[in-house]
Amino acid sequence: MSYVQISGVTKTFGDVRAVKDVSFEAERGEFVSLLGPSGCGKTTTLRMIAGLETPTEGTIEIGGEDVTKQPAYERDIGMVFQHYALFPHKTVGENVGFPLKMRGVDKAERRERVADALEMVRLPGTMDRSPTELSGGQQQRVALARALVFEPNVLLMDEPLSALDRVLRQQMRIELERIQEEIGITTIYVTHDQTEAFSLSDRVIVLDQGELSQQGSPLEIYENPQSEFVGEFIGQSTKLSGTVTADDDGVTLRTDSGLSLESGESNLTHDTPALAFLRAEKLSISKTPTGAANELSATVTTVSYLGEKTLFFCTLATGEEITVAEHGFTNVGEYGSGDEVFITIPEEKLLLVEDASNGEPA
Amino acid sequence: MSNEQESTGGVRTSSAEGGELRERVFGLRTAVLRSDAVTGVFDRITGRERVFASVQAGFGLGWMLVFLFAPLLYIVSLSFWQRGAGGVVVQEFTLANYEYILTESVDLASLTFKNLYLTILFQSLKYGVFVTVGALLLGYVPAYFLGRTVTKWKAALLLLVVLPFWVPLIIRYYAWILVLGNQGLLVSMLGWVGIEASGFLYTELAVVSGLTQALLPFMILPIYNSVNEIDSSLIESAKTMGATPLRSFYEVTLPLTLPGVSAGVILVFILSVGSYMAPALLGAPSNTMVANLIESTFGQNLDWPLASAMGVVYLFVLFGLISVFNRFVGLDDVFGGGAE
Repeated sequence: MSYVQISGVTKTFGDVRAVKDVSFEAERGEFVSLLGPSGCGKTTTLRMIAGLETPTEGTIEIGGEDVTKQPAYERDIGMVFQHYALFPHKTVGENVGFPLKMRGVDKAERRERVADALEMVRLPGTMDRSPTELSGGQQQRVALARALVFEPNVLLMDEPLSALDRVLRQQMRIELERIQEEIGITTIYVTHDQTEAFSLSDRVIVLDQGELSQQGSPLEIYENPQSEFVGEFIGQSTKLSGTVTADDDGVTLRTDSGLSLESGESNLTHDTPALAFLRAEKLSISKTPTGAANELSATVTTVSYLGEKTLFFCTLATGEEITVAEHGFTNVGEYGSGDEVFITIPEEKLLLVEDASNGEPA
Repeated sequence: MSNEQESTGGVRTSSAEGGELRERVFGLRTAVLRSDAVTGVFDRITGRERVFASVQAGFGLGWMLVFLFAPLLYIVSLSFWQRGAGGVVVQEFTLANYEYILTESVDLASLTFKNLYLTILFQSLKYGVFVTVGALLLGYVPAYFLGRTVTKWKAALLLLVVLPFWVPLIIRYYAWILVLGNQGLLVSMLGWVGIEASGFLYTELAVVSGLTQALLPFMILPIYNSVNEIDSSLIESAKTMGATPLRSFYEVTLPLTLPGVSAGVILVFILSVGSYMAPALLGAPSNTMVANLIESTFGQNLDWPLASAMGVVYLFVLFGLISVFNRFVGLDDVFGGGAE
């Protein structure tokens, strides 16, 4: 029995079904991310776990107890809001001490635990300051201290880093990881940022239009997308659609445009409509043919040098647009728009996903 | 320019001499208009936003100066002059007006306090407090729900709040007379539930309740505004931290709406203390308020200096009360930039 158990949860707002029959669980101490684009229902799901929304259908259990109908203030949950939601009329100390005050902890103990919590988020000595005097990153830390000070059962975070700039976001991510490991609290984290989800989580749950699309470890999600949505949303890839041909020699995808791509292992059967996701960084580009199995000729449209990597936007001979990412590439000068190039897809790296939209599976 | 040339050309055909003269006049005019001194002035007027800003502000300040401070200054000087026979103002300095309204029939030793002006001023302040408290109690709840509820009817509901402003005050008081009068709505309604009553007009209750209903929007709107500005995630975060709805109201909503409450309290208090029409229409002679006393001193008694002194004292008392209030609440928070 998992610590947090979400079973068949649906939430409708008027005519809109924000969350559709979502089920997942989180083990004690696990870090789970809800990942998806805006409007995918991840925040609504989190709010239902917090008790700020009531599910239309389904149940939510925490620690074996059904809390579906329990109001937020009776659940033992710490929550960090997107814009921190610190009380502007209270000091940092009063903010962090608030959950303790609500639980009737006396003043002396409160002060001690608030100091400890601020110490943990590396903001000692800020107790008597106003949160409005603090920087965004510091406010974020205060919000985290406030969500953790009463040692809740579960920590919920709703895009906590989205309001910070890039450098600060990375620092806070590392900080979050440290704190979560230190106290080992079950954490459910909502984000639209793949990097955040992957670097922090034990398990990632991808949501699409209110439905659970796929769940698994970051590695599973990235290397083995199970649906068109996950293939497209995660990473940067080129999508090709076609039909699977499986015979003794292996699995081949014949694209609608007439390409023939060999694939390594695949559990797709013969004649299945399928989509191939060509991850930009798994492709390689060269000026001369290499003679590898999956080699496609293409024309460079744009070369985009980003420092740590270079993106080549190309058009295949068959007309599809394809993006290739080369890391640490120094021969950028040799490539220009209009150049004829050869793009190689290692066959074991060809990701095939059944195409659900293209007719029923065989 | 082309227009000017055309017109000069036209003149020249009719009278060559006149045309020459005109040309010289134009030339002179052009020279004057293009001189550094003149263009400099125009540049200053048109080129600098600072000038525009001060012109705009200056206009407002000028308006205040001419129509508020100048009459006020006149009233202050009136209050130190004397009333001659038949209400003529005699411009001779005296403190008699102030002595009369502040010390007449006041005996601090025996604590007798029969001074008419001070009694009525005190009564006005008392009514002001009643009205303010009443409006606060009646106004907070609708203001809170208007601010917190998400509904497509919000604009219509807000319109309902300000709708009474479309009806002239005097008509609203006459309507109130119909509610409280002998055969009024309230008496009938009480009759339906078996309570005998004979009208509530011309009482303290009538004045205070009339003022309360008339001034309620001034309480609702600023409170609504401050409730509306509260980020709902603040209240939600209080709940996730274990605050019951009541507790989160007390800990979060209430403190954050205090600026709106203060604004409403000040507005309603000032407006109610200085009310003239409500006591005149809804009250008995014993419910006279300070504005009525000043008016009758000005009008019926034709004692402008005395009435002016009454006005000045009233102004100082009100100003003093607001200053004290400011000490406790901080009006900078209320009318200044708000919270942050």
